[in-house]
Amino acid sequence: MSDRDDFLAWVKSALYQAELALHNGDSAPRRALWSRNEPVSILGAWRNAYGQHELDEVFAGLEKSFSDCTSYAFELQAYDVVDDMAYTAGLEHTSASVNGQPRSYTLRATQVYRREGGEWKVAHRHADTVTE
Amino acid sequence: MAYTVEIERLRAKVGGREDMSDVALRVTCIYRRESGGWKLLHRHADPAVGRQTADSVVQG
Repeated sequence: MSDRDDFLAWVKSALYQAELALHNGDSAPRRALWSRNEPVSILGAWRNAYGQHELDEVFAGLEKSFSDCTSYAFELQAYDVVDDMAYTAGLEHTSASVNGQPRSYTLRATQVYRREGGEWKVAHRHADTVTE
Repeated sequence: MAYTVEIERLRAKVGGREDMSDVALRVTCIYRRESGGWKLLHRHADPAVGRQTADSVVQG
């Protein structure tokens, strides 16, 4: 398996499962896939975060907001892997309850990844709402 | 590969308007080092520089 194939397989399996879990109210799988090293950052659809401590706060908040995910799909539009860094850019299509209300929405999401100890970890996320 | 996370602030005439506008963007840029130097691969920018409620980002 090439580096690129390896990375894609991880995006479609571990990363996908973690996002599904988050939208069902469990942020632990997503947190486990994020780097424990600095720098980490989020320019989020909801909040910005810089550093491990703020990251933890954002994930704890998101966990409380989401439940009952009926559908989650990541439409990958661009990616690259160079040595121990990678990125993805695409559309996240989600149907889940937000503060108890069922919603369907699409986010544009760019993420940057670092390979640490042989494992891919998320280092940065930038997401915003798709408006027509 | 490298990336930057920035708030870009600019002042310009936007969309053919007569007046100057202040524009603030949250920007993620991803770069790759190629033979000619660092090159931009991907740029993600949005105007959501202020804080928002969780509810406000959901459509429908």
